[in-house]
Amino acid sequence: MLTATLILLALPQDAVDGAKVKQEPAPKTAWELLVTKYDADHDGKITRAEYSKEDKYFLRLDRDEDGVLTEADAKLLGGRPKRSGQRGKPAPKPKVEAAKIVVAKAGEVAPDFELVALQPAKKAGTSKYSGGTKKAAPGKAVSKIKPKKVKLSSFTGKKPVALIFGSYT
Amino acid sequence: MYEAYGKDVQFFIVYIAEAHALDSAWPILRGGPLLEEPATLEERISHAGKCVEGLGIARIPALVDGIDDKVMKTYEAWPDRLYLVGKDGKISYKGGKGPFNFSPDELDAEIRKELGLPASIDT
Repeated sequence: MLTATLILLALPQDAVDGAKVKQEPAPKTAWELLVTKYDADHDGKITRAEYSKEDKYFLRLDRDEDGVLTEADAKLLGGRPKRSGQRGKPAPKPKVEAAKIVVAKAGEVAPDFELVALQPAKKAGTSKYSGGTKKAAPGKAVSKIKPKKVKLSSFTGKKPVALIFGSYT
Repeated sequence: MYEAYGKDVQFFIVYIAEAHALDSAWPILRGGPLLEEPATLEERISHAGKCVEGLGIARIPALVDGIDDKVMKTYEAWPDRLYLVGKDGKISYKGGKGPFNFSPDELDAEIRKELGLPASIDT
């Protein structure tokens, strides 16, 4: 979670307050988020057919294990972590081992990467932030905007790079 | 720190997999944002946008890891971690794993060393 740690790294309080912009209202509860997104027939329940993500997420959310998601499940979220995979059983090991990743080590050359840069959307009506790609409006071709990418090695010989890894939750 | 060193050091927030999404193995729903684990890069980009706006840090450039989490795994970055890559392209600082070993003070000291500045009075 970046919240507390990023505040230490970032801006003085008046700059933080000045950077706030109007945001779309956030869901007040987990159930509000889920039912708004998935309850296609608006019956107050989310069936497996209505839920578009993978099984592992549905199983995590279905706390009472009755095969549908309801507000009662959402109220049981949080607390002790659940095991991934089938409830009560450890996740099965993959049959094929994933390719070994060479991890970054202090004193060694930083593994290079090229990632999409977060860019504020220029036009009203589009998503507030994007990686530079846009979905086509009905009947129109996709706009030819190339996502802006940043390559770590492009800074070699120019500037040190501080990387702050994290997420919002 | 960004204000102090931003001209001489390139800072990047690197947005990675959620630590406590509501559909994760360890959801935390109180006192924080309500987000699902993203299924696509565009969803992760959206989360990153909410993050920088919500925390008021949109001035710091942000990059978004691919949905395959390749960079996060390479840098052993989950749930959060600090790094300093020197001008020579080598990792001069690999911070401890967050949240408990995440130390901005250590990063500050390493930046000062990298820039040839005297150690901070506070350290």
